[in-house]
Amino acid sequence: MGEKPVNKRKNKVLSLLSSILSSILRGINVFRLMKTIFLVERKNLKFRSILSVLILFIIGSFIYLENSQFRELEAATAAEVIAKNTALDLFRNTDATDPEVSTPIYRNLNVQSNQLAYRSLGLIMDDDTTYIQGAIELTKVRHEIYSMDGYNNVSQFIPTYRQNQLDHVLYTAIDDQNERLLVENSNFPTYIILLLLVLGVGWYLLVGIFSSDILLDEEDHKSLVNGYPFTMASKLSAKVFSYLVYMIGLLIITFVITVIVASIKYGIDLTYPVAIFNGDYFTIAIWEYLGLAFLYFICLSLTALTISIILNYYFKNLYIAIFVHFFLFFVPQLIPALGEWFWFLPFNYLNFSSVINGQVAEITGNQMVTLNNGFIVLVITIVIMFLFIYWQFYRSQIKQSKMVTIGGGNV
Amino acid sequence: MNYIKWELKGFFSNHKNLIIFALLLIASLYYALYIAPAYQPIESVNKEEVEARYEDRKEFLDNVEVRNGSHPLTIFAALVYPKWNELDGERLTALANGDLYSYAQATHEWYLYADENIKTDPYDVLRYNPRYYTYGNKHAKEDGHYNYLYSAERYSQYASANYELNLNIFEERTALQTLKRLLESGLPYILLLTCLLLSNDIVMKDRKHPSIVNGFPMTPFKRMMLKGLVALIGCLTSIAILLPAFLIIGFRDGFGTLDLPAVVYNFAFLNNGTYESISMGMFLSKYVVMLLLWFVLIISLVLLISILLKNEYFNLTIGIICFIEITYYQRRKILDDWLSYLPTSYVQIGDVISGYRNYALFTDSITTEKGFMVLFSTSILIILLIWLVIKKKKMTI
Repeated sequence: MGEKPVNKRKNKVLSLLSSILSSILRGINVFRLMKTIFLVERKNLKFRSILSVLILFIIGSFIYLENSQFRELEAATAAEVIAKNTALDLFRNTDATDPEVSTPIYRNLNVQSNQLAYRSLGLIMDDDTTYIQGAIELTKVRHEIYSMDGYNNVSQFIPTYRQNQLDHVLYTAIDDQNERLLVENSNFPTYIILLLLVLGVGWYLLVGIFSSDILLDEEDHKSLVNGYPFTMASKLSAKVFSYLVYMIGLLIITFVITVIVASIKYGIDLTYPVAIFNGDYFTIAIWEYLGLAFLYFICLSLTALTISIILNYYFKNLYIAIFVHFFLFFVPQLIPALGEWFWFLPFNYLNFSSVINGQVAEITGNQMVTLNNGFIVLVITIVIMFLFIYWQFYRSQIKQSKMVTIGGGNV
Repeated sequence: MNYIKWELKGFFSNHKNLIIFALLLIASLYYALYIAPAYQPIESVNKEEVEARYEDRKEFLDNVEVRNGSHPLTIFAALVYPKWNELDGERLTALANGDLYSYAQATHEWYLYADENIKTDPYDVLRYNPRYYTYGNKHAKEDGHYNYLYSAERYSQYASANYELNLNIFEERTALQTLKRLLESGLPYILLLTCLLLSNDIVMKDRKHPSIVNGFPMTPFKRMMLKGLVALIGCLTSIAILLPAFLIIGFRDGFGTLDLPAVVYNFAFLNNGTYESISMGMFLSKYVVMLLLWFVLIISLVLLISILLKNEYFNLTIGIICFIEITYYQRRKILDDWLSYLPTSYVQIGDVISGYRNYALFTDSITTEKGFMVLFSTSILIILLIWLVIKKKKMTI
């Protein structure tokens, strides 16, 4: 009370120094705290509920693949033939070889018919080469239609530019690498694609829901946590660390279980090409796809964690945190125009599946929304958020220690 | 009674519940103002489309000469088009005269005739409305068949209707028809998940102030049931919150009447089933009963898991039951009968009542009555389990 400003500053500096010193001296104890928090959290039913959700999901994904027509070529090719025929019905029947009487788009659709017929033939005769050649030629022919007049009239009957490009690079890669054609869907690559498709959509939301009470569940075991003489900041970092370890653990468990079960069930094949979009369309091997997904999921986990911490700090309500997570996740769908200008904002990148297949770039109309930029944006977001959190807690820590000094109590 | 009042007060002043109500309100208003007006039905009343087809075929029929050596397609066209064009002509005159009843009659016959010819077309040249054949739709022909016969049944009811007809009713844009359309697509998921989110913490919140709760003189089981009742009232409120959106659509496009037809498909082998109509009122009341059973089921599950595991996150995992169905119900898949005894098979309440599930899945096992039975017995089972758990554990909250 009534101290001079110089003394005040001195006190501040001293208390800061001492806190830093003590935290270095007792740094080893931070690990003990982490261990305690980790042990306490491990018993948390929340962790088990997330684990049970994931296990149910894995079981469900196998049942789904068994029953569905996901990426089965026979039904897909038949549907393509019907769609193309319907597109042709929109035109009057004319001589397609005569440029005088037929429009370019009509001629193009007729050439597509030939190539589609090769694909059907390849399926009927069990001849991979015919199918693959037909598919490559078809994507080449289709490539021209997107810039033609009157494309909009037939757009709903043919794949979008993005889908066509993905098909093109996929079949070219299958051709180059002499891979087999996956006619049925009960095989390793298709399962992995399905798994990452669903996990990629759900992972951010899962971590978001799971971490939505990261600062609120302290109250369940207050005495235990407060028993350790640490600052809020080091407690927080211990907590974030234990959450992160748990999330990465879950990721590893999910990936390992699914890969092992799928390779027992379908036979392992880690080199099959998968078509992706990253500014350009190309293919990568399944193992690279898995690796990319793994790294991206870790970035997503950290993003979700930091957003949860900030929301918890300001609102102290887990449902608000959950709703904000959902809102952020659906922003690109709700307001696609936002992504066109603000491609560098993180909400464009929260859905791994639609970033890696170019869907976000397609609906926002901005080719900058790529996987590379996704990594960069997410990492920058995480760093900024952590700095912000550190600054927030650091400030509140000073405030707290000041109050303690003024009150004359002992820490 | 005091206890219920106290619980209700807690329920409606809960921040989370208020947020959910606000979100529902905003989403429904957004739907009513922006999405509903943009709805374009495939089976619309499109004068230009009918006219173009009519003129084309008229020109062909006027000029065609069927001889011995004619192309089979020409013979086929000359065989099929005259009646078809006659019906199209009737539709056009009815529209021009503004006589909607005879338009409905002609359209009814048109749909029956068109479907029969497209279905039995030996050359595979006739097609349903092109909008069914979009890229990637593997079931375009089935969809077309269903919707043509569905429309035929609908229009036959309009033709003999004793209420005022208008184009909004024909295109299913009135408030009641919009509601029905939503109830047959995404709305059940939203309602069920809302119910789950609303009732999620109804037991767990008591742990924060156990002394107050234990002060009420009643058995834990009775308290659980009263809690369930309060949650049920809360879920019904969430339906009431959709009312403003309903009124907006109603005042803009008309409300429709409860006599409007809701078409029900009666399964028969190879999708040759018959279509018949029940009234909109009947459809909605069946829907409400099934929805209530679902609410009871979800709330009692929340209660059971709350007293067993004492964790809100486990309650949230109940949401999975809405999506289990997708893993085993896939179109073009032969289904086992026993799957229809799982409550999860009845999540798409609207499609169950209208019989569309049976059409899409080629099965006759999913019926409304069975749905009532399955959901009812599951709920009873869960409530019995709650009673048992409470008795066994001698628990207080």
